[in-house]
Amino acid sequence: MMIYSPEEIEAQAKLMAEEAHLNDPDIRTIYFFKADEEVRLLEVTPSVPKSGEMDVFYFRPAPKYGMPAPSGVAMVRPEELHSLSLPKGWGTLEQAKTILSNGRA
Amino acid sequence: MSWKEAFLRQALSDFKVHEELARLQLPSCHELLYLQMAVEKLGKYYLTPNDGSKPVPTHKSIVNGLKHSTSNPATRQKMGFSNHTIYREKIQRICSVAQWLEDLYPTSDDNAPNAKYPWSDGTCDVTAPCDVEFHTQVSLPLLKEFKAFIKGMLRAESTD
Repeated sequence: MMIYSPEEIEAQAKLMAEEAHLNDPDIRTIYFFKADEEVRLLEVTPSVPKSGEMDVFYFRPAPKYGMPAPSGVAMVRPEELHSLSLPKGWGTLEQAKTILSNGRA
Repeated sequence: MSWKEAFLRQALSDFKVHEELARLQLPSCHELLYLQMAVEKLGKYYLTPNDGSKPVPTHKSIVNGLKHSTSNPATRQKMGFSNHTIYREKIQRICSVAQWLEDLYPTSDDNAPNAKYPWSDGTCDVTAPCDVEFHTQVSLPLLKEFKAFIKGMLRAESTD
């Protein structure tokens, strides 16, 4: 498992958050969970179906596109944010950094 | 080969079979089943962690997979979309087809229409999938758009 610098991880997190917001302007908040080995984002948006569980979709690294690290993205509807369990190993919402709130970075 | 790579390879292979079946003019349940299988495995490819572990078992991965892909600039750019609005609107449009496909998965409910097993309407009448023109249940241009998008995603994920 590769380890990435905190700067690399956070830069990629911001790039992905910006991409997500450009493609889904309804996103309310994006939380960034710090990890050494991958970028972990939780997007809060009403544009996903209610699921009852927090699935994480994983992307491989794509250095040519500014994504040197692998990444995992979870999406949740606002009303489900506090009722669903966060992905295992991600920590708590309080430990996460908010990198987009009310559509603003 | 990792679980992630294997799901992508199988999704590509299932999609090829879908394309071959579509040429044969057989009952549409057959090509629909392989399209479902291809997009299900593409969804599972995205659900598979990068650390090599297996994905969570679920059939409901198509719509979410499409929505989650909007966070990935690499997928969008590899597919040739430079305009975010066009990309966003395309995903919004094809999500209706993805939802239709998800709703057609076989379930334990014997009364639910699907592309694989016969179902009953609750009376004595049973329907075989091969007798149903599934392809007429969605707009043809939208179905083509969905298939082209899935093919583009498969290709994008197969290239560095």
